[in-house]
Amino acid sequence: MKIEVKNLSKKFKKVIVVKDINITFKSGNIYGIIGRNGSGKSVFLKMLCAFYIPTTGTILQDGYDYIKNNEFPISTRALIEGPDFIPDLSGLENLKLLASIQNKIGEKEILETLKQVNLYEEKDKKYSEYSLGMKQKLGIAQVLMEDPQVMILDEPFNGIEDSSVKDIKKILKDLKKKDKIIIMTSHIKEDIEELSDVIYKFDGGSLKLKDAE
Amino acid sequence: MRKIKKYKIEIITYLLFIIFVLFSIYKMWYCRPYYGKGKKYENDLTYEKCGEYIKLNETEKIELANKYEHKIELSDKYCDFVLSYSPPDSAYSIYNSFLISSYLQYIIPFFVPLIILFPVVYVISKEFRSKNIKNSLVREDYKKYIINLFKRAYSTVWVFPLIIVILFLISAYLSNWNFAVSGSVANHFIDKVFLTLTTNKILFHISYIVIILLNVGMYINLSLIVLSKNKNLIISYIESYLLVYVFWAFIYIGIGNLLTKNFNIHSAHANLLAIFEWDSITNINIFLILNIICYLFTFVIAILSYRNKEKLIMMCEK
Repeated sequence: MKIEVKNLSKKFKKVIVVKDINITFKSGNIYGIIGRNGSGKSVFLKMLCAFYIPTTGTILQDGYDYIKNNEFPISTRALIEGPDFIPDLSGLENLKLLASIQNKIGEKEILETLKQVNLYEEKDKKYSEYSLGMKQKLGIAQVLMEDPQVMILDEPFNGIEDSSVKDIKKILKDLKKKDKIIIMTSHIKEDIEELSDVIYKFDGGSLKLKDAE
Repeated sequence: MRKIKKYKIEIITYLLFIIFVLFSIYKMWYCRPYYGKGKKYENDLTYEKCGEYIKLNETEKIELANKYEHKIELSDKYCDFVLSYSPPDSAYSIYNSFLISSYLQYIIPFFVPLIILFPVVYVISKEFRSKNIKNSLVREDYKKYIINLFKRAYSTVWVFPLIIVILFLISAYLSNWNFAVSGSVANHFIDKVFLTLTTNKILFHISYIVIILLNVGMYINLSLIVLSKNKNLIISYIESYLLVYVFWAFIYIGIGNLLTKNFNIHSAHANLLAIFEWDSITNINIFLILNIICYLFTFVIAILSYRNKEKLIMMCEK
């Protein structure tokens, strides 16, 4: 799979948040994106997910312009600006609810994913009773559970204990070998450098190769 | 237990409705001794006195008519009309005496929107507050998401019309399944409208329930419009409730005047909250058409409120 971003810009009223981005994401790579708060990272990721509509430019998934056609990106899962779930439901119920939308997987796959992110024991606990780390793990589980081709992870290790971070990093490295596209941001330089094949830096709405600085 | 917790708001709403039904049954049962005895209501008195009047000779008729001159009209023609209908304890008169001519006619228009709006506002605002929309919109397209959202909002639309049907069936039971239209009903229940439709009772019943369904649908549409701009439970609940009355006032004053000035139709036909009292409504068809138009108008506005995916996501993110 290939995601081509061409001349992408986003303006809110008169403020340009993302400026003329050209980038191609290819299978089998982890892309790291760094940048200060408010640099436009999240807006860019939201445009990739078709949550926000670009002011100019296009995003093509294997040549298909899903935004122009008012569709959602195929086989893409995202965790942007923290995990968000229904507080009254348990972790497992939340995942089941999301899995029921496409009906690609059953409870067995969901439970396996929860084991992978070390959340199996707490699966029946209400989401509102989860700690920050547990919420984050559930957010990662919803990204991983349906084995998507593209994974967008915004600060995925926030609040997660070291041992689980290690496990999740291993999962991401394995997924890369399975030809997935992983786009992630992190404020921890070491995490990005350890996992990413290519690192980009967001600055003033523009995206530059970190090595090109 | 977990399931009860999960659906607690829906359960509370249904419980409130059940309390309302039980209270109604109690009131109806309590009033039951009066039905048919012609003691409680003026119109039952008319029926009773007409029964007496028709048997009297001319002199006695004049005496009785003079005695009740200020209370009821007693004449051969009028009494023939009153007595040509069945006794006053029909399903309609019981239903009428409870829901339409009792003090509830003033409470219900303010109470019903409050209960109907609550589960809608609660469920949809909870969905928006959870920001789960972002997880859903990478799995399904926006149109499908909105259709499901509307389906959830409309999941309780049948509850209130069903309660009305239950109350009517209880009235029918209390009247020994007497569906004839009595003179007393003709004076009160839906005024002259009912008499014009007595030849087609089924059509009348369908129209009556459809009007109630449309009203409930209108409340849901108005709350969906509010929720597209605000996800706060309390604020959107209050705003939805107020919007119901702003919309009612707009239709009543605006369309009501238009109907009166241009078509010589009483402005009461534009009184959307008159689903119980039916005061001055003389043509059910006009009332039905206006309800359909208002429902479609609010439905289109509700759909247009959710046209912009980006705006809705940003509202949820706030």
